[in-house]
Amino acid sequence: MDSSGLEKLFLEHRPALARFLRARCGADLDVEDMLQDLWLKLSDIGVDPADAQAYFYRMADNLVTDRRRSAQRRLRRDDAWNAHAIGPGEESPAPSPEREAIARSDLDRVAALFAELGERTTAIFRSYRIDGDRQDDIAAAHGISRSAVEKHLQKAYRAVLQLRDKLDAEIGEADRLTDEGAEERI
Amino acid sequence: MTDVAAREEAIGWTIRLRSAAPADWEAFTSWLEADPAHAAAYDLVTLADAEMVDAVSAIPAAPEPVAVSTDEPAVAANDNAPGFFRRYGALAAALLVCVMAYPAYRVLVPTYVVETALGETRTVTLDDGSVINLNGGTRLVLDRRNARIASLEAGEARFHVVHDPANPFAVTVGGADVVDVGTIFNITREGAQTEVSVAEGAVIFNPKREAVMLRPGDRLRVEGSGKPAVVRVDPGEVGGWTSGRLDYAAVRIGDIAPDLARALGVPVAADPAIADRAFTGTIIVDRQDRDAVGKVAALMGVSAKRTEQGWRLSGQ
Repeated sequence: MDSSGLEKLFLEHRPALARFLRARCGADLDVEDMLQDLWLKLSDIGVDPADAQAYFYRMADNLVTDRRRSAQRRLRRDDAWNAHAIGPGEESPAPSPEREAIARSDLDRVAALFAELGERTTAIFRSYRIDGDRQDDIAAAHGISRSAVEKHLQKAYRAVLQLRDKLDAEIGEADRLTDEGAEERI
Repeated sequence: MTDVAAREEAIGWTIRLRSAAPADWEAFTSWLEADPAHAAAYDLVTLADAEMVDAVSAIPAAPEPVAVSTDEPAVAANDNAPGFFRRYGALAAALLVCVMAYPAYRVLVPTYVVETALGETRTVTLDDGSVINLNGGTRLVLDRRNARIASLEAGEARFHVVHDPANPFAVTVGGADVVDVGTIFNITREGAQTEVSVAEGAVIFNPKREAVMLRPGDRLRVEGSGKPAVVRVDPGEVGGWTSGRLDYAAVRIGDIAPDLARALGVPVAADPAIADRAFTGTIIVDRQDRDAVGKVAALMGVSAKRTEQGWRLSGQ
């Protein structure tokens, strides 16, 4: 599809996308800026007009997730640096060993959690989220029902969210310990 | 913390939206609007989802990342994976996040992506001494285990490769291979269109199919899986963007617009009415100049208008 056709479609769906983005990110992200970014990404890619509308939404959704993720990373990095008292003119130190250990173990723990959830759940998640297979096809491949596929996926998400709660609590704990350590040195 | 019901619903949406029709997205928008806690819960689930994708991607499964066929699923291989292999995968997953902090383990994660935003350029030096300049809006995949292969997924890059006849440098672009024969060459990937230009030495385009030999000053262009065509350009202009120079000899304005976007960091579109007009000349790109697009437009004899999406070049 040529870019002028895509542009026409995009402009047509722009108000709905703006509404979606406003609902999705609230007041903390600039919706106009996001739409511009979205158009920029779209104009680089060939899209089948039949799928364009759902594709716009998917891209918009991914864009918000990307921004949230980089904000989260920045926040964690800043936290790690702030854990050290930096005087003016001093070089930023590397993140504290405690912080690094936590960051390193985060994904390790998610991976370990998948090992706990079992190979079937991991395989189903992989097929659905990474290989992009349809739920019906996954169900057929595993000889289970479609709703069973959905249950495997829900189980995985639920487990990771619980892990996230636990990890966040630990980060809070690590901060507390770091702060105490700093006070002791003074 | 968001309440359990909102989280459960957010999980349901996250799963459903993978294969959603526009109507589903509209329903999802209404769900988000119904309660601010919904968006917060959905944020939590999508962040978890991103971590899960990273973690599971790093766990070795099938050797090829191809779609699973319904008769003999690739997941079967995973079921037979010995326990230590899975643990190793978990380790690799953890390291994926920490490559910056633990460079010694980099070798465990085979491929990595080098990306630039529009208007940003970057230079990458590979282990063998080859240098790749990335223009703006470019996505390049490299392999830690093998410095002689690269994949240009989008954008433009100039390759100055150290020639090794026994182990030629190969770039994959749009399903085709470009193999060097001692060389400075430039590749652009814009939508489904690939362009390969040679400044020095020679490259072979797609040795296994068309096997087109390109010499200095040759520019090959191919659209999708079509037939490649070769035109002559000034070899001195190849990869000129690395020094902020864009040289054109009778080039469509529609084809120049993406070059400008890459160089200036703003989307530039050409109105169909003037897109086929040819331009000959040299454009010096100055990113600091706020009116750069306007000046370039004047040089090309068209006008530039600011739009919601960036700039639009059109007739006077």
